[in-house]
Amino acid sequence: MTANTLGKVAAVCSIVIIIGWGIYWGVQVQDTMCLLEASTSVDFPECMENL
Amino acid sequence: MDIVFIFEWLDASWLSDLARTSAGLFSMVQAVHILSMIMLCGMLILGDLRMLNVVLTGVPSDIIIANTKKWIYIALAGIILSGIYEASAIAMKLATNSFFWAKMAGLSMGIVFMLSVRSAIYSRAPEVIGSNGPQSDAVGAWVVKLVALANLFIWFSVAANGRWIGFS
Repeated sequence: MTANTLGKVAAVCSIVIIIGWGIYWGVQVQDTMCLLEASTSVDFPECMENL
Repeated sequence: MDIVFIFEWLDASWLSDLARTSAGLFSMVQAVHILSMIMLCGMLILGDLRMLNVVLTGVPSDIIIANTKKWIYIALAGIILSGIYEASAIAMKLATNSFFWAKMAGLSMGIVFMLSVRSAIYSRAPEVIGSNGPQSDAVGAWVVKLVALANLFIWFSVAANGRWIGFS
Protein backbone atom coordinates (compact mmCIF):
# COMPACT_ATOMS: atom_id res chain seq x y z
CA MET A 1 0.00 0.00 0.00
CA THR A 2 1.45 3.37 -0.96
CA ALA A 3 1.81 6.17 1.58
CA ASN A 4 -0.81 8.18 -0.30
CA THR A 5 -3.41 5.37 -0.14
CA LEU A 6 -2.54 4.60 3.48
CA GLY A 7 -2.97 8.26 4.37
CA LYS A 8 -6.41 8.37 2.75
CA VAL A 9 -7.54 5.16 4.50
CA ALA A 10 -6.28 6.45 7.86
CA ALA A 11 -7.99 9.81 7.35
CA VAL A 12 -11.33 8.16 6.50
CA CYS A 13 -11.05 5.79 9.51
CA SER A 14 -10.24 8.70 11.84
CA ILE A 15 -13.10 10.87 10.58
CA VAL A 16 -15.59 7.97 10.80
CA ILE A 17 -14.44 7.23 14.36
CA ILE A 18 -14.57 10.86 15.50
CA ILE A 19 -18.05 11.46 14.03
CA GLY A 20 -19.61 7.99 14.48
CA TRP A 21 -18.22 7.25 17.90
CA GLY A 22 -18.88 10.86 18.89
CA ILE A 23 -22.60 10.49 18.13
CA TYR A 24 -22.84 7.14 19.94
CA TRP A 25 -20.83 8.39 22.89
CA GLY A 26 -22.88 11.58 23.03
CA VAL A 27 -25.91 9.42 23.83
CA GLN A 28 -23.92 7.79 26.63
CA VAL A 29 -23.08 11.22 28.05
CA GLN A 30 -26.79 12.14 27.96
CA ASP A 31 -27.66 8.93 29.82
CA THR A 32 -24.99 9.70 32.42
CA MET A 33 -26.30 13.21 32.95
CA CYS A 34 -29.80 11.74 33.37
CA LEU A 35 -28.60 9.21 35.95
CA LEU A 36 -26.78 11.96 37.84
CA GLU A 37 -29.92 14.09 37.80
CA ALA A 38 -31.97 11.14 39.05
CA SER A 39 -29.55 10.52 41.90
CA THR A 40 -29.69 14.12 43.12
CA SER A 41 -33.33 14.97 42.38
CA VAL A 42 -36.36 14.19 44.57
CA ASP A 43 -38.65 13.95 41.53
CA PHE A 44 -38.40 11.26 38.86
CA PRO A 45 -36.71 12.96 35.85
CA GLU A 46 -38.45 12.65 32.47
CA CYS A 47 -35.25 11.50 30.80
CA MET A 48 -35.30 8.28 32.87
CA GLU A 49 -38.25 7.06 30.80
CA ASN A 50 -36.01 6.96 27.71
CA LEU A 51 -33.14 5.09 29.32
CA MET B 1 -25.56 -13.32 19.26
CA ASP B 2 -26.46 -14.12 22.86
CA ILE B 3 -23.35 -14.11 25.02
CA VAL B 4 -25.07 -13.90 28.40
CA PHE B 5 -23.94 -17.49 29.06
CA ILE B 6 -20.35 -16.16 29.36
CA PHE B 7 -21.46 -13.82 32.15
CA GLU B 8 -23.45 -16.64 33.80
CA TRP B 9 -20.37 -18.84 33.70
CA LEU B 10 -18.20 -16.03 35.11
CA ASP B 11 -20.80 -15.30 37.81
CA ALA B 12 -20.76 -18.93 38.97
CA SER B 13 -16.95 -19.32 38.82
CA TRP B 14 -14.50 -19.56 41.75
CA LEU B 15 -13.08 -16.21 40.60
CA SER B 16 -16.44 -14.58 41.33
CA ASP B 17 -16.55 -16.17 44.81
CA LEU B 18 -13.04 -14.91 45.51
CA ALA B 19 -13.87 -11.38 44.31
CA ARG B 20 -17.01 -11.23 46.45
CA THR B 21 -15.47 -12.57 49.63
CA SER B 22 -12.04 -10.89 49.58
CA ALA B 23 -12.64 -7.16 49.93
CA GLY B 24 -8.94 -6.45 50.55
CA LEU B 25 -7.80 -8.32 47.45
CA PHE B 26 -10.58 -6.74 45.37
CA SER B 27 -9.49 -3.22 46.31
CA MET B 28 -5.87 -4.02 45.45
CA VAL B 29 -6.86 -5.45 42.06
CA GLN B 30 -9.00 -2.36 41.51
CA ALA B 31 -5.90 -0.24 42.18
CA VAL B 32 -3.95 -2.30 39.62
CA HIS B 33 -6.78 -1.76 37.10
CA ILE B 34 -6.75 2.01 37.60
CA LEU B 35 -2.94 2.26 37.58
CA SER B 36 -2.78 0.17 34.39
CA MET B 37 -5.34 2.49 32.79
CA ILE B 38 -3.29 5.51 33.86
CA MET B 39 -0.13 3.95 32.41
CA LEU B 40 -1.85 3.04 29.13
CA CYS B 41 -3.46 6.45 28.67
CA GLY B 42 -0.25 8.19 29.78
CA MET B 43 1.83 6.37 27.17
CA LEU B 44 -0.76 6.92 24.44
CA ILE B 45 -1.22 10.60 25.31
CA LEU B 46 2.56 11.08 25.27
CA GLY B 47 2.80 9.65 21.74
CA ASP B 48 -0.30 11.45 20.47
CA LEU B 49 0.66 14.84 21.91
CA ARG B 50 4.13 14.40 20.42
CA MET B 51 2.51 13.85 17.02
CA LEU B 52 0.39 16.96 17.55
CA ASN B 53 3.68 18.83 18.20
CA VAL B 54 2.63 19.75 21.74
CA VAL B 55 5.18 17.92 23.93
CA LEU B 56 8.81 16.79 23.56
CA THR B 57 9.06 18.40 20.14
CA GLY B 58 12.87 18.17 20.27
CA VAL B 59 12.81 14.37 20.52
CA PRO B 60 12.36 12.31 17.31
CA SER B 61 8.89 10.76 17.34
CA ASP B 62 10.08 7.24 16.50
CA ILE B 63 12.11 7.17 19.74
CA ILE B 64 9.02 8.08 21.79
CA ILE B 65 6.77 5.59 19.97
CA ALA B 66 9.34 2.78 20.27
CA ASN B 67 9.91 3.41 23.99
CA THR B 68 6.22 3.60 24.90
CA LYS B 69 5.16 0.49 22.94
CA LYS B 70 6.32 -2.07 25.54
CA TRP B 71 4.57 -0.22 28.38
CA ILE B 72 1.37 0.02 26.36
CA TYR B 73 1.30 -3.78 26.02
CA ILE B 74 2.11 -4.29 29.73
CA ALA B 75 -0.66 -1.84 30.69
CA LEU B 76 -3.14 -3.56 28.36
CA ALA B 77 -2.37 -6.93 29.95
CA GLY B 78 -2.85 -5.42 33.42
CA ILE B 79 -6.15 -3.80 32.42
CA ILE B 80 -7.61 -6.94 30.85
CA LEU B 81 -6.53 -9.37 33.62
CA SER B 82 -7.61 -7.12 36.51
CA GLY B 83 -10.75 -6.18 34.57
CA ILE B 84 -11.86 -9.82 34.27
CA TYR B 85 -11.38 -10.27 38.03
CA GLU B 86 -13.35 -7.09 38.80
CA ALA B 87 -16.11 -7.99 36.33
CA SER B 88 -16.55 -11.44 37.87
CA ALA B 89 -17.91 -9.87 41.08
CA ILE B 90 -20.81 -8.17 39.26
CA ALA B 91 -20.95 -10.22 36.05
CA MET B 92 -24.75 -10.43 35.71
CA LYS B 93 -25.12 -6.69 36.37
CA LEU B 94 -22.55 -5.86 33.68
CA ALA B 95 -24.27 -8.09 31.11
CA THR B 96 -27.05 -5.50 30.79
CA ASN B 97 -25.04 -2.35 31.54
CA SER B 98 -24.84 0.01 28.53
CA PHE B 99 -21.74 1.79 29.87
CA PHE B 100 -19.92 -1.54 30.17
CA TRP B 101 -20.69 -2.40 26.55
CA ALA B 102 -19.69 1.10 25.45
CA LYS B 103 -16.40 0.64 27.28
CA MET B 104 -15.82 -2.78 25.69
CA ALA B 105 -16.63 -1.38 22.24
CA GLY B 106 -14.24 1.54 22.82
CA LEU B 107 -11.53 -0.74 24.17
CA SER B 108 -11.79 -3.10 21.18
CA MET B 109 -11.84 -0.20 18.74
CA GLY B 110 -8.91 1.47 20.52
CA ILE B 111 -6.75 -1.67 20.40
CA VAL B 112 -7.49 -2.33 16.71
CA PHE B 113 -6.97 1.34 15.79
CA MET B 114 -3.73 1.53 17.78
CA LEU B 115 -2.22 -1.65 16.30
CA SER B 116 -3.26 -0.94 12.72
CA VAL B 117 -3.84 2.70 11.71
CA ARG B 118 -1.94 4.53 14.48
CA SER B 119 1.10 2.27 14.24
CA ALA B 120 1.26 2.45 10.42
CA ILE B 121 0.76 6.22 10.23
CA TYR B 122 3.14 7.16 13.06
CA SER B 123 5.97 5.16 11.49
CA ARG B 124 5.48 7.27 8.33
CA ALA B 125 5.32 10.67 10.03
CA PRO B 126 6.81 13.44 7.87
CA GLU B 127 9.98 15.29 8.85
CA VAL B 128 8.01 18.37 9.90
CA ILE B 129 6.36 16.35 12.69
CA GLY B 130 8.56 13.37 13.47
CA SER B 131 12.04 14.95 13.21
CA ASN B 132 13.22 11.49 12.14
CA GLY B 133 14.98 12.64 8.97
CA PRO B 134 13.55 12.75 5.43
CA GLN B 135 11.28 9.80 4.54
CA SER B 136 10.36 8.69 1.04
CA ASP B 137 7.02 7.16 2.13
CA ALA B 138 5.86 9.89 4.52
CA VAL B 139 2.14 10.65 4.87
CA GLY B 140 0.65 14.12 5.19
CA ALA B 141 1.12 15.99 8.46
CA TRP B 142 -2.65 16.56 8.74
CA VAL B 143 -3.27 12.78 8.55
CA VAL B 144 -0.88 12.17 11.46
CA LYS B 145 -2.63 14.85 13.53
CA LEU B 146 -6.09 13.51 12.65
CA VAL B 147 -5.07 10.01 13.73
CA ALA B 148 -3.68 11.41 17.01
CA LEU B 149 -6.96 13.23 17.72
CA ALA B 150 -9.05 10.13 16.92
CA ASN B 151 -6.87 7.98 19.18
CA LEU B 152 -7.08 10.49 22.06
CA PHE B 153 -10.86 10.60 21.67
CA ILE B 154 -11.25 6.81 21.72
CA TRP B 155 -9.19 6.34 24.89
CA PHE B 156 -10.78 9.28 26.68
CA SER B 157 -14.19 7.70 26.05
CA VAL B 158 -12.96 4.31 27.32
CA ALA B 159 -11.73 5.86 30.58
CA ALA B 160 -14.93 7.89 31.04
CA ASN B 161 -17.20 4.90 30.35
CA GLY B 162 -15.22 2.84 32.86
CA ARG B 163 -15.93 5.44 35.51
CA TRP B 164 -19.58 5.72 34.52
CA ILE B 165 -20.21 2.00 35.03
CA GLY B 166 -20.29 2.91 38.70
CA PHE B 167 -23.17 5.38 38.18
CA SER B 168 -25.64 2.74 37.03
